[in-house]
Amino acid sequence: MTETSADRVAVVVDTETCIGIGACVAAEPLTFEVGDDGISRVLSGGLLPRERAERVCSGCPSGALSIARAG
Amino acid sequence: MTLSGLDLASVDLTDPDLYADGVPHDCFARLRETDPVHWHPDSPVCRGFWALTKHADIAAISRDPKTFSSAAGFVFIEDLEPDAMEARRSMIETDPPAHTRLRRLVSPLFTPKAIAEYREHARTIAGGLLDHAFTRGTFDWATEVCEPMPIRVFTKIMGLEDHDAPSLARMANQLITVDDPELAPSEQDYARLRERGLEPRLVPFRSPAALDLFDFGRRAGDDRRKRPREDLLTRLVNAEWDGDRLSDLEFVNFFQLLIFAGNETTRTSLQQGMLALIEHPEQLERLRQAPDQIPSAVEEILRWATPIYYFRRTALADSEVRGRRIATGDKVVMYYISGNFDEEVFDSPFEFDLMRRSAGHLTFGGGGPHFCLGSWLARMQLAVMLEEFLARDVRLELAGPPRRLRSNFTNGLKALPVRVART
Repeated sequence: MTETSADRVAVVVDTETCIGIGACVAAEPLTFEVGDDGISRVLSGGLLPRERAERVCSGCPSGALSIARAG
Repeated sequence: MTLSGLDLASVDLTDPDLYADGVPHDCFARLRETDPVHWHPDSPVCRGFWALTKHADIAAISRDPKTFSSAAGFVFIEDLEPDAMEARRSMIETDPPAHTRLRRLVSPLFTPKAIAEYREHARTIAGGLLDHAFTRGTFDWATEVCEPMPIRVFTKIMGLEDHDAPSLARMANQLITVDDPELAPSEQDYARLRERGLEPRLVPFRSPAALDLFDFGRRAGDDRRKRPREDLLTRLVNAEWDGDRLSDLEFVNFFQLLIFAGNETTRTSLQQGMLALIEHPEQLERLRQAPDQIPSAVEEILRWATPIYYFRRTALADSEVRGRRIATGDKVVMYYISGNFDEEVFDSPFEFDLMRRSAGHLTFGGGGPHFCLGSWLARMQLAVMLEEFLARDVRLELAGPPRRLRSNFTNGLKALPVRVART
């Protein structure tokens, strides 16, 4: 099945909790970066297939990532 | 493993001699099986505490800093008076949100991308150390390879000079040898503390070497205040804590923490990793055939080595873990060394298997705000060392018995005598 934009979801960073470990950057280097402020951010237009998004969220040691709710 | 004769009520996990001949895995296995949230009675070292030995519980507690504080009673099993805590507090003994601010000052220098920039430097160091040691044929892996490597990488990141590495390594080592009669500080060392009006309990690890690190950090920090550079040290001297610059004491404690953490843990992983490869030569051969598996090999070495046995938290509220009631003020000690061998998480945990599919070891902690700052730095150095070792097409064999550091806190070796054997 062809992947459509509907299969892709946005991941959001909780900027209160993030301590910039960079596990997200290691897993998805095209989607995340850690800024000079020590906080991860999603690069512009960074959407991920749901499965990969779930994996990167559960792989965050500080629990700072979640999938954005639709709408 | 015979577990039947083991009386858990009489096991003293705080006794450094319990770890003298190796990690007491039989005790921990028994605790996981029969009493995973174990009330450990008062010991000669400290008041009683909860000993947590299951992977899942350690992860849950690590991720709940509101209930389980690092600031309230510090992260070691010993009981500290308020003045000692004030004198010794560093980033690992703070809770969010103060911790978050401190952590973000330093975290940009330790991301995977930032660390990748030091990879070739680390490779040059590793290659040089290996070539020198292999020429000698018989040598001490612990002191001749593992000791110089991480400190030389870390001085680069910190912005310190190469020639300072040996003395910094010595000072960092002496932080954790207070319980080992062979390497313990001398009466003269303690006298130096007293001359400055200090008791051991008022300095990190109760070690006089902390003073030397403080002095070193002070001098380096003064220099960066006058001549700022693009380095970690400059970041630290310009750092703010609760809106103010770090005080002198906060700065030197932070400096001491980074030198300790950036050095001792990686050193121990390099030691225990090589010992495991010597004891499991078939694993080294498998890796030689499949060098693309180095990343998973690194994770297995980290699990197997578990350089830090435990960190402690203090309960700020009543809670329940596996039906046991943990009261406000109780000490909770998370035994990573047990969680890393938890049968519920790792298949055949006592098999050293470099191709093991990662199940999330606890060597960098159980997650949450205090997850190891230097995790990518440690992984990079272990990977580079394996790559350089494999490139030289040798294997090592023991040239004498490994000698363990006497400690209830770290899995370090004092010596690992080896000789080169061609493959």
